[in-house]
Amino acid sequence: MADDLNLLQQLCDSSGVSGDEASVREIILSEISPFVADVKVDALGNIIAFKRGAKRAGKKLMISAHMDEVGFIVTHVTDEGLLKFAPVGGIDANAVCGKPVTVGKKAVAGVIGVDKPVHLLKAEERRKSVAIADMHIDIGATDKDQALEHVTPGDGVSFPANFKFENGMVKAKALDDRVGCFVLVNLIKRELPFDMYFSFVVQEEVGLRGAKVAAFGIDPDAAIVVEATTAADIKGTAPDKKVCRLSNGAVVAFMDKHTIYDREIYDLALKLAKENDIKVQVKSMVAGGNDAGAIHQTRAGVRTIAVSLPCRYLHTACGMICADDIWETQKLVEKLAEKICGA
Amino acid sequence: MGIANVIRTEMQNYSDEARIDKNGNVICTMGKTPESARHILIDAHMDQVSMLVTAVDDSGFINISPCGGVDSRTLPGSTVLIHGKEVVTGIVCTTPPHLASKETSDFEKTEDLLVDTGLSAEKVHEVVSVGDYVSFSTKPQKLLGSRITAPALDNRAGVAALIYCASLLKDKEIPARVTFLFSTQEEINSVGAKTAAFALDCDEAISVDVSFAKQPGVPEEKCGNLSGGPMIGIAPTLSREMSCKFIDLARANKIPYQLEVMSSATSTTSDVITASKSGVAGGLLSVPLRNMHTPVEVVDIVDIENTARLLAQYILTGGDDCGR
Repeated sequence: MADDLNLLQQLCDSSGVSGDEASVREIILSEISPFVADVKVDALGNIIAFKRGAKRAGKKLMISAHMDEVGFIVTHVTDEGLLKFAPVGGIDANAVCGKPVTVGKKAVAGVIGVDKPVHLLKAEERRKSVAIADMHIDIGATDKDQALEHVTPGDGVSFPANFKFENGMVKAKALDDRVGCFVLVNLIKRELPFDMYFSFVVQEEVGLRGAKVAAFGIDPDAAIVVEATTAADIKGTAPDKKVCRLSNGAVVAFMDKHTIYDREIYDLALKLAKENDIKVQVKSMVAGGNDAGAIHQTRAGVRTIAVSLPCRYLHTACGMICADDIWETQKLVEKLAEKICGA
Repeated sequence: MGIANVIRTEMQNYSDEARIDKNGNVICTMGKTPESARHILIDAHMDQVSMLVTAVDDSGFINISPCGGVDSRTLPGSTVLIHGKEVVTGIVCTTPPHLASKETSDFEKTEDLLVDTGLSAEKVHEVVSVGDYVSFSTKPQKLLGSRITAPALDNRAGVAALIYCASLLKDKEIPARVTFLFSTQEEINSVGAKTAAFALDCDEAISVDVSFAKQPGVPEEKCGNLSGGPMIGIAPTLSREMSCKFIDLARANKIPYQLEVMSSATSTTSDVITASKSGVAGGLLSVPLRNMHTPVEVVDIVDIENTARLLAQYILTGGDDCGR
């Protein structure tokens, strides 16, 4: 199974902070181009691909995943050669200081330092997380000029490549949403029963912006968003607050913070899962959100569902998913797509 | 291979005798053998701040507690290695966003931090036991120029300075008995240095450790400059003659240096070594370091080299030869 995950590793290990998705886009374009009838990159950087199936579809379907990941952007270089930065997307500020990072296109290695050494903190300060405004990135530069030879304000900053697959679990940065991209690429490489559109979109983490324009451009009847979603199945979380659990299969929701999902497709997803023996779970909380929030209100409205993968520690330096959940999600998306297109 | 064995193997290139004592200290001798020769002890602690497994619950989540003064602000979201029957990687749990409190930026105290290995509960219980050590899995990384980042540079920087010093002394005429001590448990209570100093019975002792390098938020008077050379310690508990000799040697040999003035004890192994038996004259050299006790400590390797050069000069000129 590890071999099957090579592409996922390649996707997760590349850097693609929102607005700076080029290297992820390159990987996906080279993977899918031989398998699609038409592929283009739109003005914002979304990949829109059209895949021919065995038959013409009764309903025009768009299957979407986002390429971008949360990270940071360099905002200023100090006289001492340290980089000030701001978060891009909903980074968990408690999980930022003390992490290694990769800066800019030249992939300069750096570290996010603490505001001051723990020894110099007052007792009560030791339990307080550091504000991102008080942190800096240290690339080893001795002064501003040396730093500017290697980085520039506006450079994207991501957590470094750290993909690991062991005991059935994938631990990596950017699983949100490279795992969705991975599922889409896998589907594109298969023989599909109907024609369908696939979009790999930009800027999800800064306001679902890529999906908004991609959906307008494709103008679909229905959409399936494939996403990584928070699994809070960790010790100390009340059962109703766990949202979803690793190893329990694909996740569907009736509602999240951005979307009330199409009830018919939601019911269909649960029915198909049952009929085909696919592991599926329903979100136990109205929490989170994804590109469905933009897609379902495109033009005169799009019937939309999200099929998600449970992921622990989303938006940190290292998330965790269960590999089996990927295959369950892929199966469910495939079945759903067939039913929707055939309608 | 554990750090003690790495050091011993390395030091066997320079020392006729490199052994590990009952407290885990690595002890290596160089130089003149006569008992009458002046006996200089050079110490660097080789332990690092880490965490310990304190509990493993039914579902396989692991509680950890600090061992030494870890900066626990850096723990959430860090990847760690659990040194159980096998080495297992884990992630220090973060609070899921929908459960995070908006009002406070406090996070769980380290005693409450959990590690998630992603293994089945059964496997966790088979491999991980209460008391197992947990270390940061962050890998050493080159930064720009001669600066590097890694966990445990406190005090592998000092260890490296000692080993490099030994290489500089190789095949040289050394006018003293020199013992290199790589001591254990500094981050707890310096028990390794304390017991070894008692056993080794030296005339003077130089500790090599790390100290704060300038970074935002640190008052200028409390730190040295990264890349500014070894920080020569001056403190009530240190021998002023030794401090002065280090300054003179640095000047004479054009080795960059800076002063670190402390108003009390030094919070290094020097504090216990100088108070050993009927007293030992003490000196202290520190390598400036940023982000102490985090997974991303930063040093300049040129500072390590210059620390070693200064130390070697000191030994080759016979130590604190003004005597007392």
